[in-house]
Amino acid sequence: MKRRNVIARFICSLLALGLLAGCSPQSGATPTPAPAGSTPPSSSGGNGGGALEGFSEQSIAYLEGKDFSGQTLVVGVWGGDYEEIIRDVVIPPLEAQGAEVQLLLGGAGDRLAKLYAEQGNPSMDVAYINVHTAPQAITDGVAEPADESLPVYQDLYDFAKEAGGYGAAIAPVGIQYNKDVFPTPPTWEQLFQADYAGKVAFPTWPSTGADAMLGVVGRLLGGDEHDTDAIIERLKVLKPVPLVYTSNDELAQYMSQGLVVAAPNQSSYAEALNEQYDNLDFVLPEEPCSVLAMDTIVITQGSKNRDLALAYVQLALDPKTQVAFAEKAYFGPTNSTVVVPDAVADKVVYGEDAAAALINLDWPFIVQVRKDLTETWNKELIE
Amino acid sequence: MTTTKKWVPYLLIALSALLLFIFFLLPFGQLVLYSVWENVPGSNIPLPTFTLQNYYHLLVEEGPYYMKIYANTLRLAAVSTVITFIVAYPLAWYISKKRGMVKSFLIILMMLPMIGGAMIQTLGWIIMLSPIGVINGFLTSLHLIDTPIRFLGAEVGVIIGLIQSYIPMMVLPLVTAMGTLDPNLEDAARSLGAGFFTSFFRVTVPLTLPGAIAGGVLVFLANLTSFVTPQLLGQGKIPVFGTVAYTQGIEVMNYPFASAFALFPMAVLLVGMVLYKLILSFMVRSRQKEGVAV
Repeated sequence: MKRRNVIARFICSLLALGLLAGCSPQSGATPTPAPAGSTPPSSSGGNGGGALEGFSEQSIAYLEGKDFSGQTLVVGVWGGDYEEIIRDVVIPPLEAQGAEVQLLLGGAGDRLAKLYAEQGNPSMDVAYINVHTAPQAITDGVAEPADESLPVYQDLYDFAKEAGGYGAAIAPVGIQYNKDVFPTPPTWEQLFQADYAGKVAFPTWPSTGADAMLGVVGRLLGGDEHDTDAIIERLKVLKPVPLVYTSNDELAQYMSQGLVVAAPNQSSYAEALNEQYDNLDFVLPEEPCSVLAMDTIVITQGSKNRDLALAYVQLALDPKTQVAFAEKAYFGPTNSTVVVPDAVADKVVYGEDAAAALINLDWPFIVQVRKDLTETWNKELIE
Repeated sequence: MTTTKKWVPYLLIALSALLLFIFFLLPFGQLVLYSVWENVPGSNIPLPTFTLQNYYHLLVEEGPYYMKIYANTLRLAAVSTVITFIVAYPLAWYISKKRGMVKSFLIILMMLPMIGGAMIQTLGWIIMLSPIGVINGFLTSLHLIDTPIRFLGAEVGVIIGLIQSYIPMMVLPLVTAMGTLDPNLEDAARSLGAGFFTSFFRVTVPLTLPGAIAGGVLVFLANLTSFVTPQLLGQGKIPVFGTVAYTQGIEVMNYPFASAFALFPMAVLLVGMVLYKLILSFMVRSRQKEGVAV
């Protein structure tokens, strides 16, 4: 009796310890966690030149002599590769000049909602949003228009300036497909046919992929993204939708098992998946169009660390950072002076020609249609 | 003899009232305002002009679409609650029979899933229920099924997730309720000739029903407002209250409509409660007039 008691007590204490160790608050509002990370201040003193190694002359000159001691920059950005690259490349030189940089991780939807909720008194100085929400954010007074006096701004491609913020990374939407099913890469025209009903995964609504579908199907039908009724009718041939993918891993699993044969996906994520799964490939068809999907940096209106924010943008758009994004995450550069290493050159959308083929949709319309079309999209296609 | 000053009770509740006012009433008031403000096409900022457009859109423009979503949410919550109830009773009875360390151990074991939060549990279910997941893989390899059973993206998956999430919320009140039962009652029933099931259903259950109802209400409310589980296990195909409110509010940033969507069931509930009270007091008064014992 006594021994059983002792054993029971022992197991209970182990469990209790385990619970204490693993105790975490009830969370789960969004699929992406959003902890505020802070990096420890750099120990080295005025070692600006060393920390800025590899950056362009332009950036080194811009940051010269600037002392950011005592200032804290809060950057709202996605986690994963984004967080890693920013921590490795962009943050060290800023910290070498006295700044403290905190990353606020999360998805774009939540970040945008936060920007609007905090209007006038933002907790973020710099935010990464999308090309379609940037114009609206600037018009609504939540974000600043781009400062054209920033040296790196002059080097950006035109399409990276059009939306109003600082275009940072391009990952247009193409078709990710199963090589066993499509010996030659499919075209958009091919994809939206009844032959593939029940086999094409859809991105969630709203999303960049869904916006691109509007643009592409609209043009396939001879119009453009404004002809939403016709687009929905056309997409109905693909019902029932086997999967509305919320994560790239989910999509890849279904595709590698043959439950899904193709799906619209962004080039960067697609190429990353291609690395892991042998039978997947990606194509960016030019007919009828290739829709630009671009991550845009904006400085929030009312930010108290504007100079530091501008320095951040200068470094974030510097060729060194853009090359890192190309190599690690297959994002295309927006800085026209960037030379992408050969190893990744064909996986990344880059160069004036490729960039010229990308089209901007009517983004204010897209922002509105995301609201208007939610019910119809779900009713007619998904449910 | 000590007497408390008249204002002391008010002082005591002042702090809580203040907190409640700042962190609940004010934001709630903002929500009510948003629901009658205008959503300007092409903008993400609501215009502070009075309009009933949001409610019109909710109730009339889209036909019965949103009513169906409310009804679906109620139905899914009810089904999940009932099944949780059925699963929780035997579990609670078994745990309540144990004593000391074993009882604590079992309770901790049962509550373990709650520690990780809704997210971890739901992700685990995705692995179990996916067409290429554990359950389907097991059944397929035994050749019991040809095509994978569709759990995800269907109501079945959502219900399974909801049940598992809130079992602890039902079991704990039940264990407490059963703990207060006089253990001799069950023995007495047995000694009078009742079998195991008879004594369970005719003695234990009726006596612990208040605890069960308390747990049931908690579970039902939790199911009604659940978001993560229907969002991930439903894969966007199962619209419920939580998922639609999130999409409209945060993803699409249509705050006015999202507020109207969220407030409408509350308004219905309020009206229903007021009507209920009125009818009840009317019935009481009419009986008093007739001279019938109330």
